Amino acid sequence: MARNTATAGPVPTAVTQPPVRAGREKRERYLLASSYIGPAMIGIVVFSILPILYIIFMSFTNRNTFHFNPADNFFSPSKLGKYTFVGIDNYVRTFWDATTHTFNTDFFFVMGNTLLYTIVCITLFLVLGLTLALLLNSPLIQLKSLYRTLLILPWAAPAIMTAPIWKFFFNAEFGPINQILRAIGIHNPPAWLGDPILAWIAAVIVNLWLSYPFFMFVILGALQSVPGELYEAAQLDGAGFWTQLRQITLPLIRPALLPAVVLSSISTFQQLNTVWILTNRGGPFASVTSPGATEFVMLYAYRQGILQNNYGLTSAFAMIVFILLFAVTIVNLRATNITKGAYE
Amino acid sequence: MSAIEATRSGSRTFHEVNAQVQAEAEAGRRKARQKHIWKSIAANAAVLIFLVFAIFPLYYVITASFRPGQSLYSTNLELFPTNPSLENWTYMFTQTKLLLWMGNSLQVAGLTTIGSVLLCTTAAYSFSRWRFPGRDAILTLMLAINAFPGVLALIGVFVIFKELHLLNNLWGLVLAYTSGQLIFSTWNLKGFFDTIPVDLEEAARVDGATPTQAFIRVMLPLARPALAVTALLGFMGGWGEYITAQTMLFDESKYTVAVGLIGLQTDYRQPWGWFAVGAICMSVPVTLLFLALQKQLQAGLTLGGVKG
Repeated sequence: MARNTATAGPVPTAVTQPPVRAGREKRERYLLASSYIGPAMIGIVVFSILPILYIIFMSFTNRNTFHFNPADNFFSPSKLGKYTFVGIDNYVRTFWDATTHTFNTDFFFVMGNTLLYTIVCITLFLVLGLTLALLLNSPLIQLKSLYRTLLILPWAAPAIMTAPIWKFFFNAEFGPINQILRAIGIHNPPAWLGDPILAWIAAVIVNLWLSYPFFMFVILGALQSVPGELYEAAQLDGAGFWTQLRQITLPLIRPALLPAVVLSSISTFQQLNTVWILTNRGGPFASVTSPGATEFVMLYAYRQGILQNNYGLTSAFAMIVFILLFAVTIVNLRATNITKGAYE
Repeated sequence: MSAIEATRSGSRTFHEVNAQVQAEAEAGRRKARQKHIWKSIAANAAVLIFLVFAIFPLYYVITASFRPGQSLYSTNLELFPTNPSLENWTYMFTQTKLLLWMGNSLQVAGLTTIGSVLLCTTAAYSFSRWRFPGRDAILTLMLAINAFPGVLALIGVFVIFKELHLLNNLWGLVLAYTSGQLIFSTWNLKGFFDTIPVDLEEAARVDGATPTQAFIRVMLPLARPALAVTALLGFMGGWGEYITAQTMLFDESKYTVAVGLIGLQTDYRQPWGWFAVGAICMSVPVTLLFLALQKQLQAGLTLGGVKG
């Protein structure tokens, strides 16, 4: 691509030009490029970068319910009502409990729990998305376009309304899931959202319902770009279904899948609204102080931080999550080279 | 033994043996056909099972919207409401501001769509076609911002809104949502633009078109699938977003539909029937947009990725 695009923009005539004109053309070209990206950059700076800078600033302060207004001297000792500079206290407090001199186990539990949830969800998105895409792409199925249209409908459902509705679905007494279980003869169906493991599974099911259409869609599109002759050649060589899947399909659709996987991993890791509503703020809770079974990273931050006005602490927490996710993104991108083409 | 060999050995006539071989081949074909039919039945059954998982919740919500008052609270499964009524529908449309909220959301989502298509296409085109200082740094920076937990930046966004006097203002939401779309859509569009050969624009440039004319007349028509994706994501981002809108809007008359609907529930009241009506009303515009753009969407999401 680099070779194709290097000559884009004003037609290059530099060889025959005096240097002054070449300089002006270059300036004009930069001006044009900045007028194209300018508006988008202003949006990103004002509504994404400035808030993040503000969070970085707050992560070094003790802003909370007791220290709510800025102090006159930012580096003065802490006074009631005024927030001041506290160094890396908030970062340390996220990991370390100073009163008991132990690691903050809640933090590590929440991180590990969220990581597990993300891995399970993404794996299921891929398996279900791939299965459905292969089925919809196979000659064995009739009515393909009807099925495809019906199967992507959950994508159009508003996620914020889906959560309360699924909460009703899992309702122990009146929810349709238990109604169905009773109808097929299970007399004591489980109280889904009251059980730690089942509530966790319920969150996975709801997330799966919301997200598989996107994966199915992306994989279906990627399958169109796999040349059919490859399968014919493989069949002549006697390769079965699984060999074809492993040797041809998966390697060829991988590049199209990676951006979807990276972006969905991040958004699943940072999921808040759906689980918050579904399991009533991350429950069920074993005790008042410990995090709930479905209290994932953002729910933990929201409950412990924002709801209790612990802005300084929450900001440090946000920075830690940010650094972790950014590192994972970069490692992923490097390892898989998906941006290789993009920077050329 | 082939028919010819059998005839040569003289044990049977050619016709006898040929008929047998033909019959065996026919049996083999029938067997393969039967195997194909069974496979096809299994595949269709698998799709149908998934279809139940996908569609049953939607079906249930539609029937729930026609169940009056307490009739949802039953321990037995009813696939059809026994006493269907329009009670929930009339309540939502006469006693709440649902129509006003939907109007607000439509306004916000529509402007977000226009905004994100305008900003993302120009930015993505610039990243795809031109080389300028800072280009790679900006592309990486955008990925970095994407990793920031947006909800926790909400305090910062609130401060910005306050400084810009955008609190309780639908325009503020449009600006925030449009910015929220910029990163994914710019990357996606850029990937798509990268797959379109540059020759066509060069031809236009030789014919005397300015770079902007080449972009609008040559590139944009070719990038229709990616534009469809950008528009759809812009609309969905503005239409269903909850937590920012909930934080920035105070007047009930300014609410977007998500804020208004969630506001109907209290700690003591979970109005499922009303939610069902609201969820259907919220799904209709997005579904229509989906169906209208379906053909374009698939190419728009994957081509960008393949190159991306």
